[in-house]
Order: sequence, then structure tokens, then C-alpha cells
Amino acid sequence: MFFCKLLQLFEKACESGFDGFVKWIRSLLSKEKKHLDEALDEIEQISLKNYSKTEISTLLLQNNINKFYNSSDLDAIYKKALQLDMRLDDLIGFVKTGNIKEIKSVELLKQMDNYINIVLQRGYPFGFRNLKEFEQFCDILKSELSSIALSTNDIRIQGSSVRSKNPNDIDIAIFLKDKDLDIFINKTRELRKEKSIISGNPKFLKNYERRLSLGKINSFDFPKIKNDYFDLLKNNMFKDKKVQISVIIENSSFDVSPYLKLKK
Amino acid sequence: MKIEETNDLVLVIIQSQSEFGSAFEVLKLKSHNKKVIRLVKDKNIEYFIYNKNMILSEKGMIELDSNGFVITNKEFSSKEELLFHIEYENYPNGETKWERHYDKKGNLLSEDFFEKE
Repeated sequence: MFFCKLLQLFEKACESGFDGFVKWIRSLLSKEKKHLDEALDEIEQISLKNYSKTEISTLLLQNNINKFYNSSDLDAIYKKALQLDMRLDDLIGFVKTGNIKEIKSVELLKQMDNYINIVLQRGYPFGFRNLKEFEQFCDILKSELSSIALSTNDIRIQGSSVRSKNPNDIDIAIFLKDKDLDIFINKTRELRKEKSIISGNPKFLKNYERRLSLGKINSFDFPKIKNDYFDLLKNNMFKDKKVQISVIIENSSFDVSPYLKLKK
Repeated sequence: MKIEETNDLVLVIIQSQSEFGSAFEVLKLKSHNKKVIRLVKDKNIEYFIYNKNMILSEKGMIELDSNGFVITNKEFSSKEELLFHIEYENYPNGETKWERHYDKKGNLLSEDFFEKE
């Protein structure tokens, strides 16, 4: 499927003639890693319309994990996704989440609409009053994360706040690449180890390792932030909602779609 | 006396009896210039973290269930203000089933569910 997507990008590049092709190849082979990352991001974001119905149906059946949706539900979900020109990853994410949370198909269709026509269009998730408030939140978040040397290149809002008009919480997922991730794991692991030794509570380290094996490091395991952890973000801005901030390991069960990526 | 070594710290644990008859341990964390005193009182453990000048920086309290498994862990500042609070719901073998983190105001910050290993 990856090569299929790559081929489609190749065809798109060739639409602008030989110059377009050369430019595309240059961007892929660029020595600057960020170009390759951007090219791969572009590949990932190819629309659903580039897949055959059989390919999609197979994937939907595979991701209908608990068989929560019947074939007529899946058909309606597929048609809605096509109508919304949704990305394949997002469609799969909706079906997976719908299964786990047992969201009725009628409600799931509404949530798909909310995500594409409201959240992506206006550029901010539910739970915020306006774009300005969201941008203010993002600025504080990035500044707090930078203070503990955490990269802010790939931060995503996931979960109910990109799907439902009345979300229970705001889920923030931070994705780190290669060396940055290794460094952060080493740093947090040492902190948890020390905490376990000092307190005599082995659960600090043990549960950290269990969370990590599942694919996340939550903000509680982060190095201390001088501004009292994330209190400002977690409580002062959202009195009625939980704000969950975690480092998420790519391709783990916590790496879910749909999401809204924060601007760099 | 028990000495444990990890990558970047050397831990010295001295066990003794306190004047109250409870066991206590003194831990010296060499690399971080911290000194920790841990008091064990029945189903509670209290720990006091001092800096290199022996000024108290933090204090913690652990509550154990009848089987000796941790069920709550609270930490306080040197001014006795609650910093955070964790609650554990355990499987019968002591493994954590649910872990819930609360902030100083008692707001739930996060909760994690763990499958039995």
C-alpha cells in the first residue's frame, strides 16, 4: 500500500512535467531529513479516493475489532467517509474507536462530520471557545515542554475533543523521533528509578515501564516543570475537563487517528 | 548496611531502630547530594528528602494495605503543602490494576488501567 501511495504521488508530480518530477525526486533524496519526513507525511495524507472499495472494505472489517458494526453500518460509514474525502487512517481510527467505545453508527457519522467540517476547517478542537484561546493554550504548552527540552515539532490533539462537541477531556500526544525519544526515555526512566528508591514505592518504576511497554509516557513521569507541572493548562483553563498530556510511541495502540496537529 | 549501585547513583541504606521502636532507614544518594530518611510505621512509610545542607525539600507518605502493597502515595512540599496524590487499586498479587493521579487540589490528572500480567 505504501508503494501504491508513492506511485500516486509520482503521478501527481509528473503532472507538472519533467521539472515537477525532478523537483519531487530532489525533495525525496534531499540530505535534509525534514524533507523526507514532509514527503512521507504527504504520502500518508493521501485521500480515501485513491483506494479501491475492496481494499477499504477489507481494512474496515479487520478494524471492526469487536464486530460492533454490522455490514450496513460499515457501508454507511464508508459512504460518509467518501463524501467527506477523509484520509484512510482517519476512517480506520473512527471505526476502531467506535468499536472500543461502542459509539452507535449514527453518532459516529456525526463525529466524522464534526471532525472534517468543524475541527479541521476552523483549526481548533472542541473544548475551546475560539481559535485565539486554543493558540494561547498551544503557546503555553510548547513553552512548558521546551523548558524540559522536549521537542514540540509533532504535537497532536487526539480523542474526544476532535470528535465530539462536548468532550470529556483534552488528549495531547507528543511524538518524538529516534534519538529524541531515546534520550527522553532514558531521562524519565532514571527519574522513576530514583523516585522508587527514594520513596520505597516500587510502583513508580514498575508502572512507568508498563505504560512505556503499552506505548506512552504520561506527564506525571516527565521531569518536573517549574510552573508546578502542567497545573496552568490542566486546571486553570479547563475547570471541568481533564487535560491529558503524554509522549506517545509511534505505531503503538495510543497512536490513533483522527487528530489535529499543532502548527509548528 | 546494604549498598546498591545503579548507573549514576550509589545508595547506602542503614537500617536501625528509632526511639519509637519503629524501623527506619537512612539513604544517601551520592550523585544527587540528597539524603533521605525513611520511617516505617506499621502500615505507613514516611520519607523525608533533604538537600546537601540537610534542609528538608520534600516529604512523602505511603499507605500499605494489609498485605503490604502500596495503595496511596502522597508528596508534600517542605511547607507541608500537598504536591500530588496517587491512588492504586491492586490485583490480589499486588500488581496495579488502576493507577490514578491527583493534583494538589484533588483534581484527577490521569488514570491508567493495567491488564493482569
